[in-house]
Amino acid sequence: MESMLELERARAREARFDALARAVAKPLHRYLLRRADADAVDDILAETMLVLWRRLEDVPGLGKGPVTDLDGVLPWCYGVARGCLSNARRADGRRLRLVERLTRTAPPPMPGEADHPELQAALGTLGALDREVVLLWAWEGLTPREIAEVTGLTANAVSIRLHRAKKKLAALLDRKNDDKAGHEMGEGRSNR
Amino acid sequence: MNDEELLARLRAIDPARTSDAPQPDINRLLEATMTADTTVRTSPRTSDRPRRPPLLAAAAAAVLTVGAGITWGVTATRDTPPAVAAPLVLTVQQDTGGGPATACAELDVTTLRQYTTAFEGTATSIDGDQVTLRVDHWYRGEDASTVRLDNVRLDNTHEGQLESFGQEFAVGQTYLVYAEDGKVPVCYGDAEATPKLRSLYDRAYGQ
Repeated sequence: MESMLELERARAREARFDALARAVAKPLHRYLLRRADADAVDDILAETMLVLWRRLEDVPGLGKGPVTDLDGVLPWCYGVARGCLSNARRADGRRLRLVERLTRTAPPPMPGEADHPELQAALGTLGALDREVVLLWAWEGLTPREIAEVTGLTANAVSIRLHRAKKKLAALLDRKNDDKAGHEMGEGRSNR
Repeated sequence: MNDEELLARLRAIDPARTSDAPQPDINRLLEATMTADTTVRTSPRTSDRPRRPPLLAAAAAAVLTVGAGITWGVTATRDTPPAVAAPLVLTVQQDTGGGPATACAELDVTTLRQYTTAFEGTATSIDGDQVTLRVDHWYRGEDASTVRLDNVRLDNTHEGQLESFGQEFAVGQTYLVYAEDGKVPVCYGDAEATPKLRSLYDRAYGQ
């Protein structure tokens, strides 16, 4: 019976999605916690899951049965989360412009911005894409090839951006360290 | 500053480390995703951030629409009234110890036909001896969208021997269950949905 075959296919698809969702839900949740407003995270995660469900056939390296290669599927899934996050930000931006007629030029504030102001400021000097590349390296622990898959850049482009961004951050933070040291030793820098 | 120091400083401000946000409820997420699919697809996007529909509404919608393209094609000829919100509760009968259950004969069409409740469902949660199933297809009987099986024991001990009469349930797996008058017989045997078992149900209930 034709409908029996459809039934089996649908079952198999559900099972594949089930396995994928269980493997990636927590990493995706952390990814969004790091970048979105706390009250938006659950909605964006749900939206991400919906896209994964619809585009299940596009997930690279997803076979039957449990997910055996998390590192194979995770970058692609981060990419989907990133897209949903930027949709949400755009929707926010539209709402603000409509309601308050302000243009947002500053990047959205990162969670926990009050602590470690120098590092936050240093990150703020990076372009949005460079910042994302650095954070995917530092927080998600991805390799340049994996970062390429998340962002749509080539692995080469990622390596170059990552290298430059790290140098820039290091230089800024070193300078801040020197400034602080000089201040403590009373070398007469008048910031007061 | 070298890479390692930079890495350490960046990790120190990782919001995920210090966040007290609860872990995502994966079962709810899965449920909402697979039932939300059709409703989200038909409604136009507004500039408001799309919200995932509340669970009950999603379950009702799944009954009325072709939910995720699964079983409802088979039941298209039936007039399915809207889903009842409360789950149907079925109690699995236990062998009272008077002896091993009457030898569990292999299930056949004649036996199945005697039961007035039969469905295919996917286990969504297991809590002690209760298994909750989302009904994917009713062969005969009710119209509830979820069924709760009470009194599910993974195995029974008879004279010191561990014997497995019933089906072991796992979340995410699909099962075919039959019952009479709110009771699932002791010897309901292998309930895991296979093409062979489905074809048996199809033949028994004439679909």
